[in-house]
Amino acid sequence: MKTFFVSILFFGGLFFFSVGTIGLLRLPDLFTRAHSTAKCDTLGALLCLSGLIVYSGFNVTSLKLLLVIIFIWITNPTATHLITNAFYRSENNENI
Amino acid sequence: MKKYIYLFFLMMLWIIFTEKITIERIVIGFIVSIIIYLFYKEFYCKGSRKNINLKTFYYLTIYLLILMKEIVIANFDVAKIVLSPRMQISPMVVRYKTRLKSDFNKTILANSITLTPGTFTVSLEGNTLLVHCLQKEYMHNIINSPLEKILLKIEEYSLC
Repeated sequence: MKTFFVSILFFGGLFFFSVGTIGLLRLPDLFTRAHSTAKCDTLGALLCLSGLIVYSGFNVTSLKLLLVIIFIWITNPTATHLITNAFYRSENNENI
Repeated sequence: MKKYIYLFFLMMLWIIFTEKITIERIVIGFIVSIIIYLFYKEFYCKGSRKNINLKTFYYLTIYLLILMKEIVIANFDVAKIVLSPRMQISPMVVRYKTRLKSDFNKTILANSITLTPGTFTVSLEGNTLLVHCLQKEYMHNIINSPLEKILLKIEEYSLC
């Protein structure tokens, strides 16, 4: 039963990761590519890590994995914002 | 008072990292968290503020639930756009003025806009957010977003 839930969560996460990669290859420019890669980290990583949490049960390891999810959700928007901001400024010839 | 809450939070993080609770680990953790507190005292948000109350926590939990819902819906939307054989995208950049005042809340709003796929914040200068959308429809979601209303309510009651 536990394996069943874990595999459902993992398939969901891997689905979103693969969609993100397909989007990275198909979409035309940097801004739209950033949309698809940001998607991997939000729901894909969330589903994969929550699968691991269900697999390990309730102990210290799952608390650590929860911390990993929180840190990913804080750092992912920051990284996306920095990359796109740098690109935007370099296109408009502003000094950083 | 604020200082002790911060130190307690750091100690809890340390205990999660080290797994076992023994006296020497707790002593080491206490020293390390005091050092970290001294280093980051200046970055820790300043200014006059009211105390934390229950209403703030209530609105924060509602905020998190709405954010989760938006993220899941937007993820499926973007997955549909990417996987459809003819991609119908109309990327555009929108300028959007927030009514939020404090920097902390503005950062939270900008970060949650970036977390929901299909939209992200390119830059934040003063009151103006520069938001990039994958499709035109996402623009309306940002302008009438429920997230900003909740953050405005939090700002009335809250800490910083």
